[in-house]
Formats: sequence, structure tokens, C-alpha cells
Amino acid sequence: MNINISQKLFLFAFIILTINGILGYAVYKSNQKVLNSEQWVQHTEQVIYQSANLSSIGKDMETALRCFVVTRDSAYLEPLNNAQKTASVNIGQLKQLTRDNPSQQQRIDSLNFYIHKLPDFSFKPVKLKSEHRLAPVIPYTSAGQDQYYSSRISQIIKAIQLEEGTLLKQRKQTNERSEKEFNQFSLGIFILMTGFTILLVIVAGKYLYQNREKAKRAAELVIANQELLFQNEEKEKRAAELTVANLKLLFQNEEKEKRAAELTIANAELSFQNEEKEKRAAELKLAEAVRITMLNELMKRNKDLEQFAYIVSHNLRAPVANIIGASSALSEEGLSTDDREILSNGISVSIIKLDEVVKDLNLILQVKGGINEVKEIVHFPELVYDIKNSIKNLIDGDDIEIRYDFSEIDKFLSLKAYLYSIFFNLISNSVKYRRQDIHSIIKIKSHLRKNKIELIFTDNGMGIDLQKKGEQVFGLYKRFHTNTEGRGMGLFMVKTQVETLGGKISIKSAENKGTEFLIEFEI
Amino acid sequence: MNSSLKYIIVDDDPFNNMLCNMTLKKTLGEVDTKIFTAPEEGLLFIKNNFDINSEHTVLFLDINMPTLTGWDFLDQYEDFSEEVKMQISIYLVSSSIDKHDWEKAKENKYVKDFLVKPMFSDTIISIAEKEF
Repeated sequence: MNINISQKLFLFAFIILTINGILGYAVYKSNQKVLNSEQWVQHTEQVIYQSANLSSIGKDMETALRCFVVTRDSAYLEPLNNAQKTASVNIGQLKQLTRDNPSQQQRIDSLNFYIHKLPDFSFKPVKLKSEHRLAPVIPYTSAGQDQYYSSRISQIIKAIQLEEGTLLKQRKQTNERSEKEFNQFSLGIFILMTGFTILLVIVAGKYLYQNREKAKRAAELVIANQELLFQNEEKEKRAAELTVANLKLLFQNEEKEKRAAELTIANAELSFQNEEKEKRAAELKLAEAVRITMLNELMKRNKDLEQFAYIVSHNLRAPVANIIGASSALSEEGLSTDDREILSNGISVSIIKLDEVVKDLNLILQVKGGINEVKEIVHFPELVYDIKNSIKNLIDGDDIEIRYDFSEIDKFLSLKAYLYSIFFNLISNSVKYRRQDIHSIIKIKSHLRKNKIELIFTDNGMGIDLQKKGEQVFGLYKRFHTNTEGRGMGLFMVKTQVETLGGKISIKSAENKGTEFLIEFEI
Repeated sequence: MNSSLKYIIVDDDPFNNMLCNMTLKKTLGEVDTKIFTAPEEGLLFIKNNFDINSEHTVLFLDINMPTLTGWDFLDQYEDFSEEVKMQISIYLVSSSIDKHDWEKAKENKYVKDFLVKPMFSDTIISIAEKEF
């Protein structure tokens, strides 16, 4: 059974208390018994004492009687009466004492009878003496009647005393026995109590030891608690410090956030400014790019103009030089008629050449300044048709084919004269510089791109070595073939007109393969 | 005067060539003159006819020609052997003088001088004297 130490202690205490109770009760009972038996002993002794008294009273009464009888002195009667009275009290007491013993009562009753009879008998001789004188008394007395009563009283008292003695003996024996029993019982109880007390002590000791251990542990715990308390205090202190530090940090963080916010604003401002700057820079860059483009354009134009001026002056100078030379030669004497004629013809040709150059110059200047003319819708197929007609004499009889495809776009708002000139020059160039040994194909195609139209002129003619002549292809009076007629105006005019219309022209070519011109116009 | 001096004229203008030839003859009498309106033919002639023992030759070279310019001609001329080139004196000829051409001519070691058309006798005489 699993019970804890306090329950055990309680149980043991309860057992000890119970045993104590039992013991107390037993002691009480035993004491009661002893007391009782002692009472009885006392009682018996009283009975014996009383009966002894009675016996002596009887003797006294007998003596008094005899004296009275002898002397007739009534003075002796007084002790007799007293004795009788005392005997009555004694008998009453004896009766009281032996009320639980019927045989003794009987004896006491007979005793009482004899005690009371004794005086009567004594008085009888007195009466006799007084009435009859001494003579009747003597027989009477001599008969020993009185002695009979006395001996009866003695016998009864002796019987009473004997019985009481027997009773006393019996009671003493009983007393001894019960004392012995009580002693045995006490010893048993004592052993039992000692055992339980030892157990209690052991258990209590154990409990105490455990308690001490517990107290020790508790003390340790108290120390540990104190330690913990101290640590807690330290921790609280640290926590407080940390709180302060945290507050500080919080404050700093707030400051930092404030600063960060300020910085963010400043950054935003800066980035805005940067954006503005970038925008400005981009604008500047764009403006710069535009400026550079324009500058390049201007420089190119300038160079073109310089070149133009040079070419023009050169081409003006060439016939002039011939005229000067021929005139000079003509002024020489001794020239043959043939020579004179050759020189004169040469001068005429040169003058015509001079005129042509001046006309070209006029034409070019017209083109360059002709942007203000009215634009109209120009239909590409019509242009090609007209041109085909105008160069019919060049094409007819030769193996030349002109194809076109204007399906993507077939018209364009522009200056018709310029477009005509462009188409005319490119087509007639392709015709002029065709390869005689193969079937010549001239293809014209239009493309509609995002913001522009493309016109592509392709031929399978002689082509030009662009690595060598690339720079000069569109130059004024630049010619690359001697065995064909031409003044080196065509491509120059084409380029001038394309550019005047706001377009661009480029060339791809390979010798003996063919040439492709790409013209682009912004829409 | 060295009548054995030979002349080559490379110019696409036939009338100019005729005048030049006429002036040469008038000034120097009968001279050996080769005239080419196509510069390619002139180069071919030099290639085919010049060797170590050829006679000293003056070459009048026009700058503005359609198929090969005077400069293109000079580029190809550079490929000839030094012996051949030593025998030829090149004079650039043009109807007008461009500053750019003038600078270029001075830098080219094969060009002796830059002449302006038309060619007169005194020019031819001074060249003939120089080349003697």
C-alpha cells in the first residue's frame, strides 16, 4: 500500500493513542478491580472488626450482667445498656456490610437475637432476686443459661469471622490473580507500545531526515532562488539597460529613418535633377547629334558645293583652254588648210561644250532651287511608259527588257519632272551600260515600308567597281566608260534631285554583274 | 635639244591631244609622240615597250579622265620596275589647277611638274631642256 510518511505517522499515532486508550481503560478497570477487592478486604476486615467488637460487647454485657446479678448494683446496668445500644449499632452496621451475603445475614440475625436475648436472660435472675430473693437465682445461674447465649454469640461471631476470613482469602487470591493478569497485560501493552513507539521514532526519524533533506534542498533551493532572484535582478537591470539602449537605438533608428527619409527625398530630388539632367543631356545629345548631322550635312554640302564649283570651273576651263590653244595655233603662220579647218572645228566644238556646261550649270541650279514647284500625284507605271517611249530608238532592236512591279505602291506625291528625270537617267544609264553579250533585264520595283517608299532599280549590266569609283559615282562630270556617250551628268542629277525631294540614294554594284540603285523617300 | 626625247600623251580629250601634238611638232620638229585617250592603253604601251635600254620619255598625263584618273594611272605606274620608271618623266596636265591636286602632285615623287592647259611652245622647250 502506497501511503506517504504523514499518513504513516498519523496511523502510528492513532495506533499508539488507541493502545494508550486501551491501556488506560485496562488500568482503570484493574484499579477499579483492585479498589473493589480492597474495599471488599476492608469490608471483610470491618465485618471481622465489628464482629470482634460485638464479641467484646457480648463479653462486656456478660460481665456487667454477672456483676449486676452478683451485686445487684444497678450501676452495672448502665454499661449493659450502653453495650446493648452499641451492639445494636454494630449489628446494624454488620447487616449493612453483609447485605449481599444471605448466610452472613442469617448469622447476623441470629446474632442479633442472641444479643438481645442475652440481657433478657440476665434480667431474669435480677427479677427473680428482687421478687424471690437469691434462692431462684442461683439455679438459674448455675444452669449456665446465660453462658449458652454467650457461647452462641461467640460461635456465630466466629462463624461470621471464619466466613469473612475465607472470603478475604478468596478475594485476596482473586486480587493477586487480577494483579498478575494486569501485570502481564501491562507488559504486553508496554512491549506493543514500545514497538510502535520505536516504529514511530523510526518513521519520524526518517521523516525528520527526509524533512532535513528537504530543508537542505529547500535551503539550497532558497539559495538557488536567491541566486535566481539575483540573476533576475541582474537580468532586469540588463533588460532595463537594454530597454534604455533600445530606446536609444529606436531614437537613433528614428533619426536614421528621418535621415533616410530626408535622403530619400534628397535622392528623389537628385534623381529628378539627374533625370532632368539626363533629359537635358539627352536633349543636348540629340541636339548635338542633330547638330553633328546637320554639320556633317552642311560640310558634305559644302564639300559638294566646293566640288561642284571646282568641277564646273574645270569643265568650263577645259573648252576654254582648247579655244585658247586652238586660237593660238591659228595665229601661227604657215598652217595648212586642213590644220586650220581642224582647229576651227575644234574651237566650235569647244564653244558648244562650253555652252553645254553653262546649260548644265543652269539646270543644276534650277534643280537645287526647284523645291518650290507644285507637287502632284505621280504614277510610276505612267512614268515608265513615257520613258520607254522616249528611248524607243535606243531599245528597239536590242535585247533589252524593262520589267516593273509597283504592286505595293504605284504612286507618290512629288515633283513629276524630278521623278521623271530620276527614272529617265537610271533607266537610260542601265540601257547605256548594258552588257552587249547577254539579254539585258532592267527591273523596277516599289516597296512600301513603315514610313517610306523604296524604289529599286536593278540591271544586269556592266556594273561599276565601287571600291575604286564608289566616291565618284554620283559626282558631276564623272564618267567611268569611254566607249559610250555621256557627260557625267546623269547620276549627279539623279542624286541632286533625290536629295532635293528629301530622299536618299545608294548604290550596290559589281563589275559585269550589274547595278542596283535604292532610292528611299520619306512619306 | 635632244631630238631623241620621246613623248607620250594620255588624255581623254582628243582635240586637246591634237593641239598638244601640233605644238610639239611646231616646237621640236618631228618627234616620236604616242597619244592615248584611254589611260589603260597608255599603261599597256609602257608595259610592253619599255625595257632597260629604252629612250628617255616625257609623259603628259591628264588628271580628269573617266575610266582611270591621272592618280589612278600613277598608282598603277608605281608597279613598274625602277629601271623603267627612271626613263620616264611624268608631267601632270589639267585645264584648271585644284589646290588639292597641286599638293598631291608635289608629294608624288614620279611627278616632275604640274602643267596647265593649253600647252605652249615655251613650256615644251623648257621641259625639253630640263630633260636633256
